[in-house]
Amino acid sequence: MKGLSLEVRVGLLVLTALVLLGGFVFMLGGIDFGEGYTVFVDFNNPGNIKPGAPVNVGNVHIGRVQNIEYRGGRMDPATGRSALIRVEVRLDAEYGNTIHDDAMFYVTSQSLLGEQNMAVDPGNPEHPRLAPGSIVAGVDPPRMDLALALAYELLDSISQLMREHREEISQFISGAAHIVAALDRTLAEHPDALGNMLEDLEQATHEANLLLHSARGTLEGPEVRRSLRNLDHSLASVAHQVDPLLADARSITHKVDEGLDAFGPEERRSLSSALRRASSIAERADSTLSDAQAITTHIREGHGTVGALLMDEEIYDDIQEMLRDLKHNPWKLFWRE
Amino acid sequence: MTEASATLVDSGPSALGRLMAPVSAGVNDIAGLFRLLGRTLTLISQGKREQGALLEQMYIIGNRSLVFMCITMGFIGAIITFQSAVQSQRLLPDLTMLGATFIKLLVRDMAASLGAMPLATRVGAGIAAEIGSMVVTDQVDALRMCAADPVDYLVVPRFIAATIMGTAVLIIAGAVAILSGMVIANGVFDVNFHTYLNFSMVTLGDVGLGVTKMVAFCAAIAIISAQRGLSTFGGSEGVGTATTRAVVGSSFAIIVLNFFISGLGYFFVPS
Repeated sequence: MKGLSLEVRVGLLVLTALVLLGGFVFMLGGIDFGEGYTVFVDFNNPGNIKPGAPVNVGNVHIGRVQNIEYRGGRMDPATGRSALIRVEVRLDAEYGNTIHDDAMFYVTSQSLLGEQNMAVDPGNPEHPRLAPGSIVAGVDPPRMDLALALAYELLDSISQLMREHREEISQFISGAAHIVAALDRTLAEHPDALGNMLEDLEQATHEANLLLHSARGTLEGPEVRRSLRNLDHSLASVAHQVDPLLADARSITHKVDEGLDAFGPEERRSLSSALRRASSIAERADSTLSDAQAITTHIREGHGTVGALLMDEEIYDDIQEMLRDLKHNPWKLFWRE
Repeated sequence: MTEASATLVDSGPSALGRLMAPVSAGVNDIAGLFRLLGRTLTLISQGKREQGALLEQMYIIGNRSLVFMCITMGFIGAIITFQSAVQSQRLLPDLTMLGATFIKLLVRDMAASLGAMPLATRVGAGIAAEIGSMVVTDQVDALRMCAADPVDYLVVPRFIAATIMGTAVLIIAGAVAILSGMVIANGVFDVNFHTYLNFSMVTLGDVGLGVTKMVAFCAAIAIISAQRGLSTFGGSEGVGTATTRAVVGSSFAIIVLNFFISGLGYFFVPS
């Protein structure tokens, strides 16, 4: 350096600074000398991605976000799809053959707090390559801001609820604490009872298991299977017969309805009057039958002339002897000794 | 009113005058700075340069300051990276964005503002001491007697040299700060070199804003130091005072200019 002139030394320093500045600008990626092509990705929520953000496959840089256009959700006739945001992406030409038309474009970040970038899943190699100028639908990132807002609202509601019902909640907690304390005391005072209870419970569980096992054995037995088969058959028959029966019933009901509809008001009045008369006649017949029954009973008990005539054996014998005598001596009908 | 009291009243400035004296001096000082800046820019626009003097000043201001500035900014970069990483780890053990955020901060602001401070002590003090010595030894008056403009002869070469070479030195020193930060991040916190050298957060606007600040700060250092040197009086003690005033004035100007340029950058180059 000592042999260099003043001009060279100063010039070297300025040149170094200019090279550093130029290299820095070049590294920022604002200037791209490589060949590439442009595709468009539609999002409804592209997160916090910005123009200049890298586009990666895995961790390999394959392009850069050029522009972000707000479309306002209007329909694009070319795609038949409405999108809020359209992101213009420039992909390096050397990767063009590896990005296919079913590729997925999504927004992600380098780390938890990192700058957001666009990641690409290249798609199925059997599909054709993604053509320059294509418009594809991007995968929207999860709305953490929305989730946080909803969580905030929920927490706010809980907080308000607790504020408004502070006394009830306090009483509830106090009661629960009392119950726990009482339970603890009880358990401490009766440790044997708890042991017995647990043993009983274990025994009951064991027996329930046995019962279930045996019930399963019974249910899976041939009789139950046969009964179930018969029941199934019967139900099938019933199901088969139900439809015609229902059709008949429906037909009868229909006919009855038609018959009833045929009656006019005059006929209904006559029918009502006839029914009333029939009812009266039936009452009277019932009364007559009661009287006849009383007379019959009276006769059967041998009361009265007819009763005595029919039920008294002596009178019957006398009449029989008298008729025999008349048969042998008819003149007694006209002549009295 | 007695004669004595009347004498007292008439002998000194009023209370308001005493109160306003520093303000008035400050206003005059600033006005003097702007007059000198205007005169310097006018002379530069006229294009009359003595190449040898300019080259010598560029070498003194630039090359001679380079090692000092690189060492200083190297340490500053290492310290800021270390402290940022330590504080970040308290919140989240994720240092993938350490380099990206540090480079963004450095490019947009700190390479210029933090770098200009040591540059003011090195270059500003030198300019003020040199011109101040010439003033107290009557060399400036001799120039005037020879019909030479001291501003054209002394201030213009230093202004051009400081603006160009100061900016160049700050760019190189900024790069050194990035490298030192990268070494610390890798050596202490196991951050990969590629992960650290992440320029995704830096935009061309950030670079433009940073370079604008560097040019403005270096120009301010040259003008303020030259003005302090030209206003030197009182022998060697005055030279010392002028040097101190040059460093203090330059540092203050860097901070104030940083505030205003950052404010403009907030609107025109949002981060």
